[in-house]
Amino acid sequence: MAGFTELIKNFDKIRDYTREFFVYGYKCRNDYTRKSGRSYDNERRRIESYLAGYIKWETNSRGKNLFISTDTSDLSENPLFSMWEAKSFTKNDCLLHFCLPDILKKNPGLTAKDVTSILSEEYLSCFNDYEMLDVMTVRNKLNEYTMAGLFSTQKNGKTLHYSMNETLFDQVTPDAVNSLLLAVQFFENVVPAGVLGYFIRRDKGKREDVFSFRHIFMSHTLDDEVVITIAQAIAGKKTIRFENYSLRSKAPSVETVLPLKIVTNVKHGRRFLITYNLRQRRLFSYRLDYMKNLTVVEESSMHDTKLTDLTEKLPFSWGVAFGKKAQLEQVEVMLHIDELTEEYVLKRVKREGKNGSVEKVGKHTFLYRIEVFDTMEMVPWLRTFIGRIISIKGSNKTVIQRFIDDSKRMASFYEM
Amino acid sequence: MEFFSEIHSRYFYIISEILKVAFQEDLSGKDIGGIVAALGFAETAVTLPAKLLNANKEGYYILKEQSARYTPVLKGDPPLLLTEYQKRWIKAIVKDKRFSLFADESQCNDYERLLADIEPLYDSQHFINVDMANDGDDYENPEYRRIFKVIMQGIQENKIILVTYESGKGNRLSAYFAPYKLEYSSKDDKFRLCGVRVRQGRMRSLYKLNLSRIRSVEVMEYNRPENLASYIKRLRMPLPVEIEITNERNGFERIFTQLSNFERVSEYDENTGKCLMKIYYYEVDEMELLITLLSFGPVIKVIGPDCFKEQLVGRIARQKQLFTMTDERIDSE
Repeated sequence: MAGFTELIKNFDKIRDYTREFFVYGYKCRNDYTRKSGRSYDNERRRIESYLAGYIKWETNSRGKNLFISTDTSDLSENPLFSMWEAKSFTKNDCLLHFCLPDILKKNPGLTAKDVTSILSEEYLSCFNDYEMLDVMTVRNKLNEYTMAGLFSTQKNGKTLHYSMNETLFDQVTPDAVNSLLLAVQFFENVVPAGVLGYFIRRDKGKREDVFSFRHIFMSHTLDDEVVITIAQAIAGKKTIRFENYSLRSKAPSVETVLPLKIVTNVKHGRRFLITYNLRQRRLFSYRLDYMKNLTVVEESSMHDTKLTDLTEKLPFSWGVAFGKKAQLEQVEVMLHIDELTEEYVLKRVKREGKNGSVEKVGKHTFLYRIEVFDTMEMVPWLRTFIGRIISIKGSNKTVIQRFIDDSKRMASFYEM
Repeated sequence: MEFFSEIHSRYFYIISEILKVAFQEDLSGKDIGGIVAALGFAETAVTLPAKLLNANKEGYYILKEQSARYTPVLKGDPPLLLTEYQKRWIKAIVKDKRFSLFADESQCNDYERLLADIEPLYDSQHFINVDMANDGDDYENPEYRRIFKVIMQGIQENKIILVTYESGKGNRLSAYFAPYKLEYSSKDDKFRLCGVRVRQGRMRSLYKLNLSRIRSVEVMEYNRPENLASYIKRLRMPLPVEIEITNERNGFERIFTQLSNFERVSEYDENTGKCLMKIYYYEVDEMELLITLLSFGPVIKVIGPDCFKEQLVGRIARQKQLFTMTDERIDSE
């Protein structure tokens, strides 16, 4: 494997492979058909390196299958954050990353030319073989770090003078820093772009182990850049364009849409973008993990109207399906619950049953009613009451019949 | 700046740590290799040390050598760098109602003031969670916040805590617990105290107590047992639940995603086109795993162990009986 390097330039390169190793965990080399075997070997080796300690493998008749197996309740931080630490860099990037803050911390307000001379005279002169940097290279890095928020500039005539920005942590008490770092450990696992918090804790040397997490989906971090770009487009009421790599279609489609809300199904772990599709002129949802090469396009005057439309429809959607209110489907489920010994079940119906109503209609018998755009979306939840469903009715006869048939099929698996 | 940036690179982090140590005392090549091996990815030690030692004119020129000892070319410790993205992320969490669980009022005010000119990275109004319970914890309740902080203190200070808990039926229990972690569920939007009950100095079974049902909590002077984590690990069920999955209705993708919370091992059988999965779990999570597996419908079949399978089969049998009774009633009408 000549020329293998541990670091990479482009995150998308490992985004798909990591997800497949993490989510599926049973695939072998031959199952990865989208790219060459060589590409698989390199990415597998990288991921094995980034996630050493979490990666496991098994060999079976089909070959070696690599998987990432974790019990999230035992983990305090997301192992997949490592993927964001793998960006490649040049030797000048490295030198300037460490020397520029060191120079500006002691000498605020320097020009690019001043910085270059100090770098040559005070930092690199001790080396015989170092090629001195030109002002342009230094200026580019100073500007890049200014854009990143690390430095600030002041213009004096035509010349820019650079200084280090004061760090937030220098302006608060040590107790306040500790409170923030503890909060960061929690939030990095539950809010978008949590990896940014992980970097703060890593760089501050804080690795406390106070929290654990249920129902979190660690692979979501792989889509963080997509999520933040979309969130910014929504804030700016702008349309976006992206390639949609849906599993249902062989080739990706290019979509231009007006993004409205980012949706997480906290039970199933899937994330969607609800949009107004400009071509089809209706609300449409897309999986976030299928999106690639996303760009923000332009401001749209339709944003407020379409968001109002969506907001009115949201209470009637179990997940991400939307239609016309005239097409709402009715569902009625009669449940057997002993409210004295099984009050927790009744509570669960109320806490998880959205805007449905629950009514006692007989001894240990409760009727749950709801109107939704798509009955199919609530089927997995309804199945969690298997063993208690006295009857199920609904206007979508196909889905209701399938629910009943599925229950019979499940019984047949166990020879009932 | 892109999210995926070398500013946050693991290599830069390692170099930064090496520089901090090298300011205290000059380092040998072996010392540097040791730090890289401890903090790097699995293969980092193959390439990074040579670059730090400026070997073959391909170095980073961050450390200078004198008599095979290395010292930084910098004048001081590398400072902590916070990017604009990171400040915006902090602003977003400071605005989150859960932030007050961690910071007192004056700290919250300080952060609000210092970040006054910073735009939050995202607006939580642009996000929605679906399939979420509607009775999340009341984070703004001062008593809840106090209980949260006391438990957090117990964990951080490694102390036993005395907890008074009110069950769903209104029964009160006061007991000593070795607090392990505060467990957060995104689905329930709730915190639970995950801890082991301690009686007469001995550990007795794992509990997960809803924080909203804890009525009082006090930090004791006794330390948590040293083997708390290993004791909890031993409570994992001895046999994993084994299931067979078909790819009908995109079953693989759906089930593998949802079960990615659990430690599991899977194998694909080319002959049957089915996947076999072993799921490892704790007894306290058994009921939740059971109803999760039920929710997948006929795409999965539980193979074992018998005690788990019997519970699931019992539910399905009861359902079959209920539908049969309903059919008979309709027929007789």
